[in-house]
Amino acid sequence: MKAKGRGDGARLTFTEVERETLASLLDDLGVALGAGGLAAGDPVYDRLYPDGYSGPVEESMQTEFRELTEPSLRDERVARINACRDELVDAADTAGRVEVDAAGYDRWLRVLNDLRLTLGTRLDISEDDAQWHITPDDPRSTAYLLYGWLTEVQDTVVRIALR
Amino acid sequence: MAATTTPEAEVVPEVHVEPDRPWITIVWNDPINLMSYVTHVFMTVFGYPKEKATKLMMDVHTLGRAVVSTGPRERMELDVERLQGYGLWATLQRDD
Repeated sequence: MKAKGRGDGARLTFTEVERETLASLLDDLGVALGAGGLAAGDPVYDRLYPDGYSGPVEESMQTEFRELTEPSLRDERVARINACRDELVDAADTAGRVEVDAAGYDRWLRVLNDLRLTLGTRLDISEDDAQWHITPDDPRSTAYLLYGWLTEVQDTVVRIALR
Repeated sequence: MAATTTPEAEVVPEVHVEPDRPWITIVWNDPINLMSYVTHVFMTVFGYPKEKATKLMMDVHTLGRAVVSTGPRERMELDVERLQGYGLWATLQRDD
C-alpha cells in the first residue's frame, strides 16, 4: 500500500490482494457497526460510543447525550465505511488507485481508525506488547497480522497530513 | 496510544484560565489510537497548530488524559461528539 499527498487530498494505491482484503473487511465492518449490529455492553460499542460525561453527573445527562449523538455518529460511520468500500471496488479499474479530495482523505482516516478500533478491541489490544509474541497456531494469529498491517496503513496515510 | 515513531520535541503548554466557563473536554489514553492520528485529529477538529496538537497528544499518552478544550457545556458537548466521531475517547466534565 502506498499513499501520496495530492493538494489537500491523497492518492492511495493498493495491490490487488490488499484491495480485496480491505474491501472485505469494510463489508463486515459496515454490517457490524450498522443499526442493530452492536449490542449495548459489547466492548466495541462501549469503545465507539463511550459515556459523554466523566465525573459525577446525573444519569439522565448521560442518557440524553447518548440519545442525541449516537444515531447520527452511527449513520455517519456506516456511510463513511460504505463510501470507502465502494472506492476500493471501483479501484479495480484504476490499477488499485484511489484518488480522494480533502474530505475523502479525512473519511479514509476515520474509516481506517474505526476498523482498527473494532479489530483491536476484539483482540483486546493493550499497551503491553507481549501479545505480539503469539505463535502461528494461535487462532487469532491472522487477525493480529491484519491489525498490524492496518496500523501501518493508517500511519502511512495520516503522515501525509503531518509532513 | 500506539507509538510508531519518536514524537517530536515538547513545547510549552498554553494555559487558558476561564473561571466563568466551568466545563472542560478531556481526551483519555487508549492503546489503539495512533499517536500520529491523535495529533492529526486535534489539528483538524480544533485547528490547533502542529506543536500544540503534538503537546496535547503527548499529555494524553504520558499522563493518561489531557484537557483539549474549555468552554460552556453546550460547546463542550459538541467537541466531545466530534472527537467521538473520530474514534477518540473523549468526555466532558465540570472543571472543578
